[in-house]
Order: sequence, then structure tokens, then C-alpha cells
Amino acid sequence: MAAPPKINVKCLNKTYPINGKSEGILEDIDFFVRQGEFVSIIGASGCGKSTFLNILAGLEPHDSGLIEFDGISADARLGKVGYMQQKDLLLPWRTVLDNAILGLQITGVARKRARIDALDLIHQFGLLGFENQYPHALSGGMRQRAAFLRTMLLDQSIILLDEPFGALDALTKLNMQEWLMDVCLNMNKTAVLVTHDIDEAILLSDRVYLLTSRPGRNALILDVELERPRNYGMVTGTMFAELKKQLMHPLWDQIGAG
Amino acid sequence: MGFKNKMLNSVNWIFPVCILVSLVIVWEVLVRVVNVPSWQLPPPSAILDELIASKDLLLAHTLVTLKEIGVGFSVALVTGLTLAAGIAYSRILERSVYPIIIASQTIPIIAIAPLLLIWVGYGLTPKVIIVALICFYPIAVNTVDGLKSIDPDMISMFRTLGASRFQVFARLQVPNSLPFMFSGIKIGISVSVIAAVIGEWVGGSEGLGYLITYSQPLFLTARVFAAIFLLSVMGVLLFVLGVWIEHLTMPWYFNAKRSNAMEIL
Repeated sequence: MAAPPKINVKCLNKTYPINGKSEGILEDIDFFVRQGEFVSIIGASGCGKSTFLNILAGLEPHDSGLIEFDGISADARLGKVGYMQQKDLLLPWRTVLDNAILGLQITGVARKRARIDALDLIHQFGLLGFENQYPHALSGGMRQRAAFLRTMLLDQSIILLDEPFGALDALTKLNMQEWLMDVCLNMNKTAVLVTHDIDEAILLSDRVYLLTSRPGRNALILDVELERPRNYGMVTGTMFAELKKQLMHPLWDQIGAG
Repeated sequence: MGFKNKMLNSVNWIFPVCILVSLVIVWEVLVRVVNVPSWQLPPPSAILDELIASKDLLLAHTLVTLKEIGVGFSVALVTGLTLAAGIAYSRILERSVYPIIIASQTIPIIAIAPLLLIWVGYGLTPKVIIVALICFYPIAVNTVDGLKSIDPDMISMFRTLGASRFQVFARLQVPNSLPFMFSGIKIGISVSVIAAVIGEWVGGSEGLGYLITYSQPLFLTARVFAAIFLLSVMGVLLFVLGVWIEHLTMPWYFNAKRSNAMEIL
């Protein structure tokens, strides 16, 4: 018997009360991610993709539907799922190292012990020599890597990424995408990425979920069978272009129709 | 960068000092040229003479005023921070106590000072209470603002790390409030000297404020000025002390500010 998926979502619904009426945000979303997979969710602005991540993280309740982790209904998800936002959200009063260990400290690990754990990874996160700097002295890419380190240090096997590269310049972004694939692989993380960058979604993912605009529904599920390890050079390949075409057309229709 | 830094710092000092020194010179010259009687407006040199001649008397009264400020300010700090923490932590306190604190500021504290004499007498206590009442407000209100002005995404981030309400408070809200708290402390320090003088004016037999009201009918004008001078020096030194503690407590804050200033330059 195959192992149950890491994340399994069935028939998820979410509405918001807007001007006294309840408006649908997400409708009948089906979604799954296997252990170690990297899955992206893509869609036009306002399709509810960030709300979906918030629900998976446990920050917002959903109206109905099933959410399972490892085949078990996951009711209390806060603190069990790693979550990265577009903003680095580093604390200005903590050094890079002390920002990185925030999550460990919250879970009760002593500062000294936590620092040792963080220092083990500081090189892999490209922060060697910067561990005692305050965030304001760092570039955007470095700040984001420090935020990744804070998220990844916790023993959370699922990582939710809400446009984590959205605020970075194009070159830094390329660098970070390749780096992130390595890190997720090395640290055996299962990742869900929300983005509106088609290239990013295809390059990083094993599977891409396209949502319709509001309310968000499953529009298309695209398996990306590019071989790993991947690199940015693949973006110009024919297979990549073919996959991109498959995603672009429905996305363009959405924007046109909206 | 180091050079520009030094430039900025020295510019901060040089201009006010120059202006102050030239004002004192103009004052000295004008009083002598126009021949103003010393009981009306003594020249700075006469005030300096008085500072030296009566240094024991002045020092004794200075220490009394300093004590009133020290104790009163400490009381304000402890109660202000405690209440701010309570208000930021508990919605009930926020709804019930916070409006009262804000409304209480419409009561002129100078007007309740005579009442304090009736209730607690003429000693140290009424001055401490007045200083505390006046300093309490900026400290409490600024700290509440600091504790509550948190990016909601920061709170989400803490929650996804599994933080409890108390952990959000202790590790996010409290450090975030420090710059606000120090703003309140600096405002509090600035008004604390005035508060102590008011307390001494209303009733007392010690302190620089008392010395002013005592010397004025005797036309000891140079002594009045000497007391005013000492009060100002005290105010400035206490303020500098506050800024110094602020820098020691939040090096990260001033580093960030400085590097932002450099980018603008």
C-alpha cells in the first residue's frame, strides 16, 4: 500500500463576509502533495492562493472540507507547518543568528543550543561571516535567506512559501530559486509555493496547480516532469516552453475574462 | 563615511553652543551699556558670581529637587510601564482603564497640587506625587502605542513558529515598544523638572523652586537666575542621561537609523 500523501486537501471551501454578504474565496479545492515534493499554486491576483496557504498554516479557519497531513486529519496546524512570506519579517533588534534561532527558542530550545544548531547551517544559507550583523546591514537576498533559516531550523517537514522571492531583484531571484531547490532537497522538506511567476512555478515544482480567479477553483493540474537537479538553463528548453504554454493559455483567458 | 559621521555629530553640537554663547555675550554687554540695575536683570557675570558665592546653599536645594525628581520619575516609570503592559495585554483593561488615563490629562495637575498639601502634607511626598503624575502619562501612552503597533504579518510569523500569546508579548511586543518607551521617557524627563518646581511653589521649604519663590520678594534676582540656571542644567543632564541609556539599550536601533541617514546623504 502506498504511503498517504504528506498533505491531502479535499473539497475545501472558504468564504469571507464582505459588505454583509458571504463571498466565496475558495471553492471545492482538491490538492495533494507527496512527501518531499515541491508543489506550486499559481493564479491571478485575488484567486485566494494566499488564503489557501494561511489555511494550511493554521492562521485562518476554513468553512468546510478535509485537511490531512500523513493521512491524519490535521486540526491544530499552527506551529507544525513552516511558513515563509514575501517580507523577511526579521526582528531589527536581533542579529542574523538570533533571528534564525527565534523559532527554536519559542519551542523551548536553550539559546546556546539553538545557536549551535543554527551555526551548523549558516554556511549553507550563505550567511557565513554575517551571523552577528543586524538585518538592516544585509542585502534583500541575504535577509530572505536568514528568514529561510529561521523557518527551516524548526523540525517542520512542510514548508509553505508565499511569494518568498517577490520582493527581490531578478538576478537575486534566479540565484535564490536554485539555492532553494538544493536546500529543500538536503533538508528533506515538502514545499508548497504560491506565486504568480510562471517560470518560477515550473522550474521549482513537481506539480503546478492553477486556480481560477475569485472564487478560486481548481482550473488545471500540471505535472512537471523535468529531470532533477534542475537549473535555470532549462527555462529556454522546448519542454519548458511546452509546459509554459499549457499554463499561459488558461491564465491569459482568466485575465482577459476578468 | 566615518568623516561624514563626525561632521554630523559636531554640527549637532557646534551650532547650539555658538548661538547660546553669543546670546550670553549680548546679554552681558547690553546690561552694562544700558546700565540696567542688577535687581532687575543681573548680567551673566553676576549670576556666575552668585553661583560660586552661594554654592553650598544652591547645592543643598539642588539635591532636594533632584531627589523629588528621582523618586517621582521612578514611581512614574514603574506604574506607567506596568499599566501599559496591562493595557496592551488585556482587552478589558484597554477598554476600561485606558480612556480614564487619557481623560485624566484634562485635569490641570497644578490645580490639584494644593489638595495634595491637604492630604499628604508639606514634605517630600506631594512633590513626588506631582512629578509622578506628570511623568506617568507620556511614558504610559507611548509605551502602549509601541506595544500595539506591530505589523500583523509579524504576529502571523510568530504564530506559525508556534508562539503563545505571552511569547508574542515578550519576544515581539516588548522589544518593539522600546523606541516608543524611550520617547515617552524623554518627554517625561523634560517635564519632570517643571513638575518638581510646581510642587515646591505650591508649598515647601526646600528645593530650587522654593529658593526662587523665597529669593524673589527679597530682590535677590541673581540668585533666582542661579536657581533657574541650575534647573536647566539639571534638566539637560537628566535628558542626556536618558539618551545615553537609550543608546545602551538599543544599539540596533541607532545603527539602523545611522545607516539610513548615510544612504540619504
